Amino acid sequence: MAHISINDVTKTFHTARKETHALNRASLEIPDGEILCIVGPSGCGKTTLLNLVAGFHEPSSGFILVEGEPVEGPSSQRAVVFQADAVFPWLSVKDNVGFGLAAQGRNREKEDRVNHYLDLVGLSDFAKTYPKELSGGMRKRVDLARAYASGPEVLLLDEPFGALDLFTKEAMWLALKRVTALEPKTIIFVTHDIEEALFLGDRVVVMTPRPARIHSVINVPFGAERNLDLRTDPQFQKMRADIAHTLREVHHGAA
Amino acid sequence: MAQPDPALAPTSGNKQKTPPLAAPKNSPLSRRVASPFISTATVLIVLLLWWLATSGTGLIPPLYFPSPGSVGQALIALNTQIAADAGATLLRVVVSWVGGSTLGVAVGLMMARTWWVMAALNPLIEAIRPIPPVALIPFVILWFGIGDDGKIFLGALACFMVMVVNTTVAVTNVPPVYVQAARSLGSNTGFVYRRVILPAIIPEILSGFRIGCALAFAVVVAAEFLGADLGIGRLIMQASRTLNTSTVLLGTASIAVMAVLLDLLISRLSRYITRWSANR
Repeated sequence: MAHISINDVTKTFHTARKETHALNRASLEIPDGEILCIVGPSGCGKTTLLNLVAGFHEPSSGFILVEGEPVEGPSSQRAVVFQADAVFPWLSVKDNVGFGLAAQGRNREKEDRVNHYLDLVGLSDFAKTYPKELSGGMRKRVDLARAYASGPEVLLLDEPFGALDLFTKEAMWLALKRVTALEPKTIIFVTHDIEEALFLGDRVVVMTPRPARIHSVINVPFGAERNLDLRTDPQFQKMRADIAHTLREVHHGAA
Repeated sequence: MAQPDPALAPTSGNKQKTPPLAAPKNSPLSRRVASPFISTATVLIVLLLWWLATSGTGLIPPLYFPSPGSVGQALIALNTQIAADAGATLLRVVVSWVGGSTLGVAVGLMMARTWWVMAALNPLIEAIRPIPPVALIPFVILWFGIGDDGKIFLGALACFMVMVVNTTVAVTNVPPVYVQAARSLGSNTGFVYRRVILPAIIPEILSGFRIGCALAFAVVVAAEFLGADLGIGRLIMQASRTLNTSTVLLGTASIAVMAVLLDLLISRLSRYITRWSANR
């Protein structure tokens, strides 16, 4: 677990023709063990913000601290789960989950840790299977187990369940809830699904495009224990409608 | 012949597709069973037609296309000589092909990894690549003589060029998300290349390897035409001087047999190596 501090971060991409302001003056404090969800339409800078924390890009101005240390490039301290299928097809499920430990030279603990996380995501029976034989939801669970097994302090999820159908998505929400309850991590979860953000998050950050910036930060008051029926709760519905309203308003205002 | 001689074509061959396997693993059982029967039948029918057109009916004079019987006689007459020639050619092909391809992959990976290696080597490779290797035979004979070295050099050069291009293109096609995932799991650059880039491009490397095999045969045999102490190319050339077309055809057929067996070996091997791939 780690505290993340994002301080007045701006990111501008320069291409031959123009400059794109992908993120404008974002500031956030994310305490140890919090699940922070970021919602917003495409072009609002949510993935840029995640990539900056991951270390794939450098901020144009401002700075990001994780546990008080500035972010300098990708590191095993911050594991990322992408929307795209990033499970390595040439490795078995077991070797995928053990990849981070192998990369870090932690071969002695590998066997135990791999088995532990395979068990946690319910894939023990598929240890020796190649990813091509798994469904989309199973592959996402491999991805999640791989991220967890590498022993990060921070988990960065970039629309990880965006390509899954609703039922698989719900199962993945519960799987993620179960894993985070057992082993809390500081998590940034990027999504365009407001329900997903409210169901999973301790706080929800609403971002808007043009300019790409943080619009508001909302506390989610539903506690740690949540089940799928929470979505029918009137308060949940009201918060969902409010966020949708905000996003629609800025969208029209900008367009 | 309708098809251009591969030995005279540029060494690039990069978009040449390897022929599909007769019966992919995922085809229905009935097809998998029937497929070898149909393939065998084709071969037998062609042999029968050959016999009919030559010995059977005498439609084609023996000088223009020898009969199966006379090729058989040539085989008996040559006895161990054909084995020695075939062995010499096969050795040159395998050494040049494996050596050239391995070097090609290594250099291709270095070019893909380091920008200044790419900047330095790219103009050289782009300049040499379009030259048909057989055009270099006069120089090669001058430099290496008529022994194994020159032929191996030429075959290796051809395979090297195919593999360098194949590898650099394959590396740029690796999804960036694999590299990002590997980095955020704690891999350094070396680990990313060994454990992510290299396995990810294996299917492309194997298909380049298969193209290179045919190319090595073409180049080595062509080099043997113009000067060799031993080899199928020498055998064919020598026989053609005395219009001994049975031996010419025997030599040609022995190349086909070796190439097909080698290709079979590679395709079996690649099917095992890329068993993880979704389109196998």
